[in-house]
Amino acid sequence: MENRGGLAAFVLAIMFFQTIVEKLAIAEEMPQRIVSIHLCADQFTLALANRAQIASLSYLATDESRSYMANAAKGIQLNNGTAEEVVALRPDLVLAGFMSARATIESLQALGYRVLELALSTNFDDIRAQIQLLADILGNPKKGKTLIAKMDQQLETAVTDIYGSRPLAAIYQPMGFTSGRGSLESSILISAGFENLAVRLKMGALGHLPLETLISARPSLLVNWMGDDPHPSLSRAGYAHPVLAKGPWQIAFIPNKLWTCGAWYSALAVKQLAAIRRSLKK
Amino acid sequence: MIRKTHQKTFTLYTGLALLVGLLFITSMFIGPSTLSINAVWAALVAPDQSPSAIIVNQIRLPRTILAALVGATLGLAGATLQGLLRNPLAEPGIIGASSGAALGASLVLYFGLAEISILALPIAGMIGALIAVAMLFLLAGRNASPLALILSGVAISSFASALTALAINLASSAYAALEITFWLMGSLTDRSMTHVALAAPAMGVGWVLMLSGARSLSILSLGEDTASSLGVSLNTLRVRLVLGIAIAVGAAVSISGAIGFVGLIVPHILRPFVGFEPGRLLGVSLLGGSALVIAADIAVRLLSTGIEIRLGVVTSLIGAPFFLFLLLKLRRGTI
Repeated sequence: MENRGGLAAFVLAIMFFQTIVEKLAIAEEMPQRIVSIHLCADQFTLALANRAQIASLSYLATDESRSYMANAAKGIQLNNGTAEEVVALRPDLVLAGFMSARATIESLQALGYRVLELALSTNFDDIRAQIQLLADILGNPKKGKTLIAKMDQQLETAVTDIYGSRPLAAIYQPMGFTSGRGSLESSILISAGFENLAVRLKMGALGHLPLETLISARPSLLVNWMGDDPHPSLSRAGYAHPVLAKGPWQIAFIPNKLWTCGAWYSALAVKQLAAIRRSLKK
Repeated sequence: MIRKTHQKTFTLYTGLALLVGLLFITSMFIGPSTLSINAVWAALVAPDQSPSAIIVNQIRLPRTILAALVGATLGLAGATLQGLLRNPLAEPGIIGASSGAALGASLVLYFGLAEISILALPIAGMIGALIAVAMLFLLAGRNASPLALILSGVAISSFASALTALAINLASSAYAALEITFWLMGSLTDRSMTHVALAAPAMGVGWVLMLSGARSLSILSLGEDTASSLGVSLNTLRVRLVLGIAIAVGAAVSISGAIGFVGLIVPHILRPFVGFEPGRLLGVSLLGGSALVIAADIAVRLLSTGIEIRLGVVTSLIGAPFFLFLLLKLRRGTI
């Protein structure tokens, strides 16, 4: 009898201990005050974390021309990404990204904050890995799996019924900037069934396409992903070369916000381009 | 003596004109796509919608015309400024006229005014250049020492550049910021006939204003009192030339961005050939500037693989050491 009581006490003690360990593990796994200082981290945080976990997002999160999740970001406190603001928000996880200020990240780390820096995803494998990594860290691995499945589904349906050779296309931004090997833009273009002119010309992630090259290569499609930027710029002011409008190519304007981050919605850019690819009938 | 001078001048003009012509033709053959002499010729005499005709007529031709016009403007403006200020180191870039024009144009870009009218850019360039030159006169005075003039120019340039940097800093679109930054480096890549039509008339007006002061500039080199006694109205001359410089440089910079040091190098090289006479330096500097910028623009296309090297970067790389060399010469008193 005494023995059984002892056993019961032992079992209870173990159960109690386990609960504490689990609680601790959840606290470790599930950050409760997430602060993002990067536009791309904003997107993933909104998609993968529970709203209650989010303490603050970057000031670009609600900019509808750049942030895909702008609507969902409404009502959440925004920050300008300085260490002072971040500290005042008492975060248990800080999400930064490529091109975040080095000094900010270093001073936050020196102060003992947990800072996670997102790498730039330049292809869909990177994107899948990044979604899963973040979903795990934010404590919602299931949401990650669902999001990846949704993206893969969209990628797959985008290119059904597309057969035959790949038509030549080029990313062509104002002033002739283009994207070649190792860029997200190129991955999107290629996933939509095109051949990227910049890759054919062996250009790296950022290249320059003179109009002459464009005219001799005669791509069937020029992709501009800055076209809907509502902010003033030279190219919007009628300074673009008239030859551009008269070439043998079609010009596609794909919304800016679909390109700024490598994310699940990059599949939507593929979908829009694949629709054009289908209409080219090659 | 006079006949000999005339003959020499004639030879000089012919030589420079030939050089400009030769470079102009060469420029039509330089680009990422290789075109044969026949293809270029066919495109020029019988333009059709073939790729080679489009490349020649709508890309290489406007680019080369602009190189010629912008170079001529900068060379002429340099010679005019040097004559007017009686200072061999005066140049649109160094005295801040180019930075002023660049500031005017950046503000137009920044505030999106270029979308209201395509003329906004060149007009803002001219106003910016005019304010910069007017400020130089206020700061340095007309009998300024070379040092005072350069320091005033540095002050004006720095202030204009600081305001331009502010516009880039506050630009609402990262792309607009990038655009201004690259545009400031100076380039003629992918300009069209629209740009030519936009800038050429203003540059022409500026040239006429500057060239009309040639004789007075030569007289001015004898001293202000002598010039006044010979019937040169200094104030009228100054206003006319400053307006000419501002209109031409403002229009040029608004199309090409800042292309530095052309106005310094060209007059300096040509000065000995015209007997150190400021008035006679104007016409030859116009042709010389043209030749230099077309040549530099050819070099840019030959050197660029992948990301293009900007024209303004090339002229500055040549021009800045040249400026140092002139400063040293000035210190030794050999200018």
